[in-house]
Amino acid sequence: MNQVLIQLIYFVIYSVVFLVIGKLSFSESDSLSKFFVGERKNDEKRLFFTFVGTWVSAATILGFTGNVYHSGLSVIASSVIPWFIGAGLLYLMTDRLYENDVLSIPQLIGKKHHSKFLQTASAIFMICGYIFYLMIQIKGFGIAVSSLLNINYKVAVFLVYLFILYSSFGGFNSVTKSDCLNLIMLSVSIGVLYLVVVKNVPGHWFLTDQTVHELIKSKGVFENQTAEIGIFVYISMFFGWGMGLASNPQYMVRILAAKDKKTAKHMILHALIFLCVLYFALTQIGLGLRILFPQLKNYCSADDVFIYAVVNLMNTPFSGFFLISVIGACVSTANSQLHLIGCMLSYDVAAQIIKKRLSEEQILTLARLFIFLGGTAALLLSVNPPEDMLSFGADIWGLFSAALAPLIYGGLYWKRRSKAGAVGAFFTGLICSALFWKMELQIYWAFPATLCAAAVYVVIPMFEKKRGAEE
Amino acid sequence: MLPFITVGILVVCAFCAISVYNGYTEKLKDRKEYARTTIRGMEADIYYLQGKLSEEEIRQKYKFYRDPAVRIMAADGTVITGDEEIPGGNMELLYADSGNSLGWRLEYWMDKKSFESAILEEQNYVIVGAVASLLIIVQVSVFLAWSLTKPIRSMSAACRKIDENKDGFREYSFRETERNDEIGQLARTFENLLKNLDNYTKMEYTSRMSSALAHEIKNPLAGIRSGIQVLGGRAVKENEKFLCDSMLHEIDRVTGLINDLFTLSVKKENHRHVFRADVLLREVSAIYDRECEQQKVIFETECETCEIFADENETRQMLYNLLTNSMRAVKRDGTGKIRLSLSSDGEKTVFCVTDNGKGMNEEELKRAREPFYTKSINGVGLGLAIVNRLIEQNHGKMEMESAPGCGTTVRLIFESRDEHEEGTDR
Repeated sequence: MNQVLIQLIYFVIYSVVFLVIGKLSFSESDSLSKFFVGERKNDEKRLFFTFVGTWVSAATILGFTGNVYHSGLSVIASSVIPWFIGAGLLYLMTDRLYENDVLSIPQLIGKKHHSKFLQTASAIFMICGYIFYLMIQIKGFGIAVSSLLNINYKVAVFLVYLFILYSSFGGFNSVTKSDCLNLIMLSVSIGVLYLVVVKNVPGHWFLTDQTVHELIKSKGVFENQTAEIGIFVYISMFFGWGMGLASNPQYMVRILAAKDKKTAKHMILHALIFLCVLYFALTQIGLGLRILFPQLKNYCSADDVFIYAVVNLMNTPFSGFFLISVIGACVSTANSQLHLIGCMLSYDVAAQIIKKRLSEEQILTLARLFIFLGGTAALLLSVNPPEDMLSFGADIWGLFSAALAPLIYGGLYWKRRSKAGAVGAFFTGLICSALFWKMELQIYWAFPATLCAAAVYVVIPMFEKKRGAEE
Repeated sequence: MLPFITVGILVVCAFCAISVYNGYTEKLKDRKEYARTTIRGMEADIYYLQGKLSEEEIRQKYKFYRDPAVRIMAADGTVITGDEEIPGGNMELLYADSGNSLGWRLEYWMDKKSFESAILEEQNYVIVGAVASLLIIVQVSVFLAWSLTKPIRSMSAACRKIDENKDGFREYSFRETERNDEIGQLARTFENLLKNLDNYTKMEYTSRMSSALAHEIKNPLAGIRSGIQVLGGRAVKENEKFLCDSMLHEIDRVTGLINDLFTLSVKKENHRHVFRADVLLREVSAIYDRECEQQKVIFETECETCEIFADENETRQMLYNLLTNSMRAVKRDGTGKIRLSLSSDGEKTVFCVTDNGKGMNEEELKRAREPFYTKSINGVGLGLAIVNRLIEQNHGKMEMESAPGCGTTVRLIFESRDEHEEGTDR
């Protein structure tokens, strides 16, 4: 049977299953609590799938694996390790976060600092960040679908509407159900690909940079040594991916959605264990592809190499299923973020700005409208996507770290917080990010930006207290 | 939405199938034409070369013919170019000819599998577009169906809550009653049904209760009444006589209450006939005139000579109940006023009782006809419920208007004559 026809059949089957899941979830989205956080009654199994599904995106599957192919294991230090440390911070803050009866993280920020302005401003900031991050998912989706169906990339990205809008309209429960499907598919395909790669690199089930270097040298391919990155740069990278993840509402919402604190904590623990295994497999696949197809380094970018190798060079009947699983991974992250865009724009922005009190039904309708608008904006931006998904994603998360980390963690832990301090920290984070990003620093720009914002957050209340005491 | 989805899917699939089939047939036609032209070209070439070169030389020329789809077999059966064996499997013969002067068989073959793959690749965007259209149709249909059924689901949820919380069902109202469409109609009808169901349920219980009470209580009460009457007749002291009169009064009150319950709940045979409404009004007025004078309430009447088609006793009872209610509502300091009027236009006869009592608010007015609903300390809440029941039995209508501080007006509208029989005067 024709390969394109087989892949088309995969696509149709996936679409039908997706439609059924979405249809079943619509009835579970008729209240704000259900739509935003699944009524805060979700069990560990469902939360595990959605947490991991949201985590594993195009940046992970394509960007990370491609960067491992190009740069070796050093990518782990600048991405995976900061991610896991960030997840550790999430675990530690679970108890404090869960105690708050809120529907969104901007609402938490506003509540802790008694500031509706901060609620709205932080929501607008997060929305902008998510729209840009959505570009990465749509790019990943576009690459996968254009390979799957043999169509132009720009046409492929328009197909994303079919999935992310549909699943996001159904609210939190719809998003989590689709995450379950996508994660199962992804796990199977990554597992199979790992076994295929290991089988083709006989005698090596655990590859390292050294092994790769030796094996490709034996094939007569010589490669230049990649430039060493300083240890301090690695540490400062934590304030990109790591702290950005720890300040990311899309994970915090899943903590809030748990039925109790214990469930939330178990979700994070089990997710991290699973992700360890997944990243191991992806690392091995990246290194394995480097051994099997070293020539791709010359003409494939980091984001394209994984798909190109699997679809065009490995000649496995499984390639269609793999592409669908990449699509699924992109959809999982995209619909989580699009869902948050809709929730925040309706609840934290529109409902706060509009003087007339909106009913639940009106807010839900607005949420769906904003999902459509947010998806469209991201889609239009993704027609000309960024070159490297991983570094683009790191920059966005760096912004989250600088602007939001002091507000969220300070709001939960710093007793002497104040509204002025929070507002000052928020704007300091943004301004410093803009300044430091342009500079060629020896460290990652998000690190000093976050430090400046944190300092402002702490200093302004002390200054206010001192002035109050003098008066 | 299923029929619409089905139609949409069928249309898109048909369009896609037609497009692909059309592409396939057009391309096949082109390929066959190309095959024919190629073979014809070769034959013309053979004809041209035959006079100039030997057959062996012409064979050498065609031995390594560049088009792998061409197969040439000599007249003696040897294959000059192409596969030795007749191609099988996916290969299909598009065109063949042996009409050249050398007697060679010229064949043009096509790889069907490659051809179909090429078709699929050319029609890729059509197929993808069809799949995308199908997905959009289904998704939009699912979303529309969900939106359309939302009010029905909301009503179902409200009904479930009512079922769980039976006592508090009066507190529920459907938001959908504000709609102007069929859903709004359904919601309003259901709300009325709930309210009436409450009354029907009460009526059923009171019917059973009053049947039992009537039998069990009335007889002993009659015996007690007789005994007290005898004792009252023998009483010497004034206070003893007064006590006996009070007890008789209370017994009568209880008997009246049982009778009211009975009237409300048990359907009695109704004897409607045409009689003079003004005569009845004067009878009732005579009783209440005296009563009102004693209570320092102004009582006015206004009537015209007219007839009414109803049960006379039941009509009398309705008027008594309405006037009793008005007596309770008005002030008894000379400012209270009750007006009983009668009018007719030949088709309808209307009794109207108006008072300037404390009136009722919207909620009280809505519930006034419910059994056992009362704001009065002395009442049981059956008066208006009985009037409502009796007016329905007499095929009439009761209209009420009231506002707090502005008094109440109750209109009882009856038919003036029997449409099926001739009326008889009283």
